[in-house]
Amino acid sequence: MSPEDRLSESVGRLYQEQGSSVRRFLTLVLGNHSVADELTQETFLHLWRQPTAFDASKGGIRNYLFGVARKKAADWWRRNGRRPAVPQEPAPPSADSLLVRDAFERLPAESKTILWLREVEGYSYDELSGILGVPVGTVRSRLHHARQLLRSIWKQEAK
Amino acid sequence: MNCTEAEVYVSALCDGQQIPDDARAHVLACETCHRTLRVYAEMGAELRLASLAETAPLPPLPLPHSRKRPFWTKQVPIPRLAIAGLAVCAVVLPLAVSIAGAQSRPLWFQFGYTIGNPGEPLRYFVAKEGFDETISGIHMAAAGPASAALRIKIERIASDEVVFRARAVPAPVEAPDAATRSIGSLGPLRMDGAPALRYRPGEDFMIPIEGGGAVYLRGQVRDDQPRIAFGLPLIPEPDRLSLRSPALFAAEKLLVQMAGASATARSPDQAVNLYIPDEGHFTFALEAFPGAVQARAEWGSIDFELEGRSYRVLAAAPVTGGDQPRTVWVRRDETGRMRCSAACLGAGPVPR
Repeated sequence: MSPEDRLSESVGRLYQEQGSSVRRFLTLVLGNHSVADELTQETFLHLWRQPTAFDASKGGIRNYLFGVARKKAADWWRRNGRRPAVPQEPAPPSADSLLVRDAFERLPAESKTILWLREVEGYSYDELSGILGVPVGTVRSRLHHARQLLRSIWKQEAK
Repeated sequence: MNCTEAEVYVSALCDGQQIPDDARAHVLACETCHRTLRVYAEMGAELRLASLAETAPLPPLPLPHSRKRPFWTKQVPIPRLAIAGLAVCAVVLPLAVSIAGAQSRPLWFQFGYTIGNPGEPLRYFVAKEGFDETISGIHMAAAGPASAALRIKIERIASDEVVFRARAVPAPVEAPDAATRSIGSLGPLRMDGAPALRYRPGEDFMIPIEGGGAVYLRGQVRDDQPRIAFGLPLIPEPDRLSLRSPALFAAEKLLVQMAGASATARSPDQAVNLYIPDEGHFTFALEAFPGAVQARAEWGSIDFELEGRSYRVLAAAPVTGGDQPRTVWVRRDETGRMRCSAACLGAGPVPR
């Protein structure tokens, strides 16, 4: 098996293991399933095309993939404006989660990204610092701000 | 610490981060702050719950298929030193090859000789190192025909010097073979004790003839093989006109064929004369002269018309040099008669 074939096999396996997490993240951040699918694939293709860009000394492969996904989401937002182009699809079954999710989707992309990575993906402050490329203190203040905003929107929706 | 001051630490406490003790004490004791902490925890739980709703199957990853490359197109690592070496070789090798080629290319010595006085040789020879021949000839000198035989042995040819040994002896003025004018009865000359002579190309070099007189040698060194035809450069200089082994046709009928005969007009005021019994005297020149008509010369042929009759000369070598075709001039004299009973070919001044 050639080195190229081995790389394809490794990236394919990684996609099966981590692809769903990355796609969930991108779906919530972007609010668009088809775009999330597309950017998820682009995230893994980026790794396939430039495997040497991943530096294990700076964090695990999962951190790296979320970092790439976040940048691709930011690029997409920059190209397509602040709102998703496709209307939202029906959300989860719970009434509360429906409201939290509705409120979450109204957050700015930056807040959505950091909240999702912390609450759903469970990244530590240090890891978030690496993924987002900001100091730990900034991670702390951004999380505080994002939660305040989400709570504010959620409460308004609940009313 | 009040609620406003503690607010920033609630989020950090929610994430299990270390916060100041007084902030922790306030958050745990303050109902408002404690409620905020619970809300934050609840929001996180709702988000995690929402994430579980994303159950659509993952689309396949369109990884490009790797191509099976033939072994001769596979990339292999090459050290930079090797690349630098190749670059140096690419520059140095052609240079070295051209220098070596120039050094190993044999040089040629084109030479001729006259008898009695220095001048332009009537016939040239081409030699490489190792040339060793006896040559002879009859030259028309002021006092009459002179004949000598010359054995010349070329030992070394350089661009600025030719080293040779030579011996010149008088040869009987005899013409056993009128066609070649060779003096075959002399046989090979012995070269015992002949000294090595050094010749500078372009100069006239005197070689004494044993018993009196001298042979004058003149030549030049060339790095390409000289093309010689009938003892002269294959393509004459543009100011010369030469007929070598010519045949003359009139209205496509062969009038004469002179195999081996040759005559050259060595300057524009010279002409080549061809006499054919019963046909007359044809004079060819590069410049117009009284009674001459224009003719078209192109390499080995001359075409012209005289008195409504078309003529063509076909020669064994180019008639003249320069851009072809060229205009030459020709005149026919029916009245002029020569002493020769057969066709004659020679050179002389342009008739005025």
